[in-house]
Amino acid sequence: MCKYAKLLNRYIDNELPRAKKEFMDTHIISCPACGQEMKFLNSLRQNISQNKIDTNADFFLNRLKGRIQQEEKAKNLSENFVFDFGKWTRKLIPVPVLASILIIIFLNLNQNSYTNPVDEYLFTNQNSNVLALIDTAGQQSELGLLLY
Amino acid sequence: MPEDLELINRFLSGDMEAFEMLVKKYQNRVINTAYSLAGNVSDAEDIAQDTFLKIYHGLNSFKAQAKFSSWLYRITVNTAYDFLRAQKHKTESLEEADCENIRAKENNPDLLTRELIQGALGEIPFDFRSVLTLRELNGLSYEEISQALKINIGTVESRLFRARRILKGILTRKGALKNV
Ligand SMILES: [Zn+2]
Repeated sequence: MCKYAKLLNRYIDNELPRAKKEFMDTHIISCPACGQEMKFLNSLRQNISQNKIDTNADFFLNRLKGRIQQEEKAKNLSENFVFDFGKWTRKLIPVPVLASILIIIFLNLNQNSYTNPVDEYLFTNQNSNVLALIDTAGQQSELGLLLY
Repeated sequence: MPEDLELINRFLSGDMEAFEMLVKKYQNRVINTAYSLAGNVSDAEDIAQDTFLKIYHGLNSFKAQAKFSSWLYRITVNTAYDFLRAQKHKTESLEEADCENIRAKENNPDLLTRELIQGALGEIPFDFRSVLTLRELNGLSYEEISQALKINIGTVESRLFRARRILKGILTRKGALKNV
């Protein structure tokens, strides 16, 4: 590789100041390495610059417009859904009634989520012999001691 | 065709047709840049679509003191980078059979083919590929590449130099070139 290889790259990219460009103009004539490299670099440029594809411009634009419309539609839909939900529930159910319903649902959920460890044991160990010994709610606390 | 800035301002005041004109003006450049970076038509079109969607949503944050094309190239390159990383995409290497054809014409750099170079391009690091693409395909100057990719001119120059050296190495290894 010639010591002016880097300069040659800037030369073919037209990025050299005038004096250096003039120097390279004469250098490449007398330097076989740079002459060969010039051929390679020009071939590379020619091939990359022609490496283009034909696309259907209208199809591309229509696909893009479709995607934009779809995005806007989804955005509007989610905004409207949140808005409408509030509006319609307010219209159909008065606020105090809605609040009461929500409180009842909340309490109910809370109650169901509580599980006595013994109930859980009995529920999940239905084949156990221990189960046969107790089947009234009153004995559950004693069983608790027994099991732990 | 009106100037970019005029089209952008028209779009920002609600004129969708102005956006379509921007797309029509730049779509070939974006698709071909994406093609050079991705190596296949289908990915190139997807990358170009994603790029213009980003442009559509981001035009209100475009700073008018920058050149629109520089901004567009930056988004194209970044979108391609994200796309290829997400896909863990690997551009197919050249088949041995292709190389046989090329070996028959060996030692004549003028006979390098587009397919051969596209295959080799896929093997060089993305940062080098993008600089080389902007220079050779889009004809950007070092200054313009530096603005588009937000890297300094010295980095543009060294990446270009290294990209070409690596490409030459790959092509030589594949038997397409002799006497590096
Ligand atoms: Zn030389």
